[in-house]
Amino acid sequence: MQMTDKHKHGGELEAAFDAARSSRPEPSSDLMARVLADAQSVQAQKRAAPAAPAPRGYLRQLLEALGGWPAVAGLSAAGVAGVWLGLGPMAGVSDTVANYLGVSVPPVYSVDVMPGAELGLAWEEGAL
Amino acid sequence: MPLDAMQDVSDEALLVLFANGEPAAARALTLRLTPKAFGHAVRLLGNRAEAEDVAQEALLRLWRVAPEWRQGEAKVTTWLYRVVANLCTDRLRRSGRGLALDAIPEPEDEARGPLDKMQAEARADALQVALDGLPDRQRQAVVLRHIEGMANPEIAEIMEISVDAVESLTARGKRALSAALEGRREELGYADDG
Repeated sequence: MQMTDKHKHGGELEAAFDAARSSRPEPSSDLMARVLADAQSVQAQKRAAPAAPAPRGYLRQLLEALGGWPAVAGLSAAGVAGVWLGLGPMAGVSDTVANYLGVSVPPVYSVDVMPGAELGLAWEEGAL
Repeated sequence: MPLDAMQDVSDEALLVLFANGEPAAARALTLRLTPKAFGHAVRLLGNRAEAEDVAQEALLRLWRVAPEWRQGEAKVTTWLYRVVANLCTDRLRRSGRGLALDAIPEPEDEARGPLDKMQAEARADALQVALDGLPDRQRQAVVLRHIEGMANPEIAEIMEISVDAVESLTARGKRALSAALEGRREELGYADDG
């Protein structure tokens, strides 16, 4: 095909597009009425539906998932006990953990929260 | 709110008003979007009755999605053209090809003579027949680009493909259309145009 033919045929296609654009299909009044009726029906359904509950916050959802305030109180007590065990573990607990892990527990984890208690006891024994 | 007060309101803002229960927004969106949805469906299906069903279904989906519409994420028309195209593709796949070309209504154009008008109608009909022969994606790209007059980036967004892919589809589609119309040059009066 020669260049002039290409241009000519491109012009034909453009003329066809022009014709298609100028004869744009128009919706019937019946279709417009049906679409509007759908729209009004959806709006009416939304008005009739009860208002959705306000979204709950993350903390409120977490609290409910845990079982409410009583459960949280129990968790708090367990947490405090855990801190106490971590700071001043009993010898048996330390040995058990060390055996389980197969390592020796570094002394930095053993904190004597009442360093004077043992001395006080010795003094009392000596006094007796 | 009177309808003419909504002429300058964007589709997206109207959709928010619609979701808030504003009756005028329902009317304005219906008047504004139904011709677009229907026109696009006719081009893709070549059948007015089926196009009416598709347009109604696409708009019903829009009404239902309105409360969850996220501002600034997509244009309403982009979403609508995509839904229309998907519904048309579903119908074409279910029913197979070979759809009859309905009589596409023509707007009254008093400025043109009867012969010119008949010739334009014949050309539009011939183009629709040729469009019906294209693969779905080529037809959609050509219609959006050359009949709806959209820019390639917007077409890419509607079709969820790259701009390069849009250009490729339209180029192949136009070549196929030219070939299809080639045999009807004299019948459609192209020979007289010089």
